[in-house]
Amino acid sequence: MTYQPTAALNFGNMGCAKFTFTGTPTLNNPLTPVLVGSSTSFTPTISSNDIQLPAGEYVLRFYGAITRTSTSANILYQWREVGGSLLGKVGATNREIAPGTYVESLDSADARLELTSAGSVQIEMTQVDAGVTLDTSNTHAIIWRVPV
Amino acid sequence: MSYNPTLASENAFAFLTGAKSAGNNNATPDTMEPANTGWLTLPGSATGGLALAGSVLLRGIVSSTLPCQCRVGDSNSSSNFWEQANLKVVRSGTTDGTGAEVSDDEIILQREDATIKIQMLERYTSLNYQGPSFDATYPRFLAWRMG
Repeated sequence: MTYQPTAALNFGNMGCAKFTFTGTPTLNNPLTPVLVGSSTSFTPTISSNDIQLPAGEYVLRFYGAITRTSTSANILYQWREVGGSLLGKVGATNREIAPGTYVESLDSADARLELTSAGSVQIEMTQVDAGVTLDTSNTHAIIWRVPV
Repeated sequence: MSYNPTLASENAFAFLTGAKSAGNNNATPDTMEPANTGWLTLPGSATGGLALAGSVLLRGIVSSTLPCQCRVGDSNSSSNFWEQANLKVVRSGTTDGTGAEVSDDEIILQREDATIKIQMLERYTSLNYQGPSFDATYPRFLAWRMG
């Protein structure tokens, strides 16, 4: 008898993709992703501001970079499942977490997502201070995927 | 034939947040997604650690509600400097901003069948740096099950 159960772990099938971004940071709006490259086993597509993903289990990391006209100007950002809720934890360029209390750089927006069917994600600006321009040379994201 | 169906399609990634104990004692995450991740066991007590089954890669940050300069890492392997993070948080005020550099390097570590406990390992103490005081709102760790 031959029996091949579903693999306990699909880690060996992991793929990843890297993205850069363009656009003007605007509150509650997404940036526009550009696919730089990806594994042969994971080929996401871009539609407008959406990163379209096949079914799978994902880890998402986004690093924002900006140029400032004021030292206190920053952006906050978080992943969102398109048509759904914000995912994971917020990331930020240096910011005041609680004004007047303390400052800390949170850096990346991080999230885990499991899609049982194809779906899409965006990186959304959850706070944008005045005088901020996106540094497109350094703003980037990496998404890892394993099949479900 | 032996077959354990509960192993099928187990998640490969986990997302860890929170801090087991506020203050400067234990920044080990206390919440995970998915909650039923079989290869991770959250701390059972305020002084407990995160138990890893098999080989796991962890990377993420902690957060402090008090100004601090310190090194943070796994208290069970405190000699591994390359795995530690340097956390610097400066108090904000009316004159802060210019030159107020802050950093929160990632803690990145890999362990196999081990229990890890994220703690402050060493800190600079002064009137201006009373922390760290770990908070539970902003920390996050991503976990990769390696095999």
